[in-house]
Amino acid sequence: MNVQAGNSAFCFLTCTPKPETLEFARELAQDALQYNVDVFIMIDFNNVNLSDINASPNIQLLQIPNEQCFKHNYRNTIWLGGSRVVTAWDKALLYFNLINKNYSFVWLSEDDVFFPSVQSFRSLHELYSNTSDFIVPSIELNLLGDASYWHWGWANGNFFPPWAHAMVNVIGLSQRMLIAVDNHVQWLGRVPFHEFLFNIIAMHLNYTIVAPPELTTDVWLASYSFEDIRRRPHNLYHPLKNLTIQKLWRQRFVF
Amino acid sequence: MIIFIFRLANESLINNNTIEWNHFEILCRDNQTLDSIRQNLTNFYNEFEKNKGKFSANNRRLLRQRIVQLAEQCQKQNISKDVISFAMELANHAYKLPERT
Repeated sequence: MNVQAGNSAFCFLTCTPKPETLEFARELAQDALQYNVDVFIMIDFNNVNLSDINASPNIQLLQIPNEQCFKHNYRNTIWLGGSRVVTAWDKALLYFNLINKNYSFVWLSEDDVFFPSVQSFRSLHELYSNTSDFIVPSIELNLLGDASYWHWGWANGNFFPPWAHAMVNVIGLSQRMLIAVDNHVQWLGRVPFHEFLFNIIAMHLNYTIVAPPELTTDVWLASYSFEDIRRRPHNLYHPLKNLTIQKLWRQRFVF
Repeated sequence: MIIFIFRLANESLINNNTIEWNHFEILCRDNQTLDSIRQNLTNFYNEFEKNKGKFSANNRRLLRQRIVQLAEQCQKQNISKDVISFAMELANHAYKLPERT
């Protein structure tokens, strides 16, 4: 069972929040008042002026200086090369591990994950958050620690086998799962690649992992139609990068 | 079994006072071909996907439990593997158990 019941958090991970994300966040935050989930938007770009953003009082906008992330070892979470060593992922993990540790369960979602409705999140949250440590779209095992394919070379030296990975564009983490992540980050001095970090930690600690059917449509590459969404309105979909389409499709739903 | 799922679903929905699922009744009629049963099961599954968010978390867990029990009974009676596998999929879509790693 999860460590304790209590308030939960949902955090959108963005470079800068688009109007469509803000609008859905407002809707989600309003609905989530009924079941004690606080809604956050992590904004990676520190040149965004928060006072220019028309958010609702129910949404908390977050910005964290990159230096703070370096200082506390929260870097490299999604890094596979390039100059952007710190992103909204690092900042959200830092925030919920070191700054605001009050939540018994935390959801993290990139903004190209499509939620057909607030109900799609609500049913997922109510069904699994009280009894799971890690909610993830899938679990792909690499039992022997074969580093010769995918991004497994990055796991060498960070984790003993067995290994596991998954798409993690939307995930749920219990408080003890977050603590375990922080312990590993502080030991290593940086964050291992996110697509195996959570899976491996949860597996090694024998934590409760659930890969619900609602997240099977979180994949690396796919093209979705409205008909796909209509057939499974309680699934979450990734990638759907066109936020205008996200908004239009949400408006077309009548439950 | 199909009749049972139909009743179970309807009971849950009625208890929740959400929607009615009358056309499930078609699953219960006699003299159907295998193809029509398969189609009805597919329709059933599709309807379940559309409406499962209206079940309470507790009802969804209960649904899983009861559908799995039913599938076990079917196994003992040598009922089609397709039906059993459908039941297990439906059970998972009602409530997915933790993964065994």
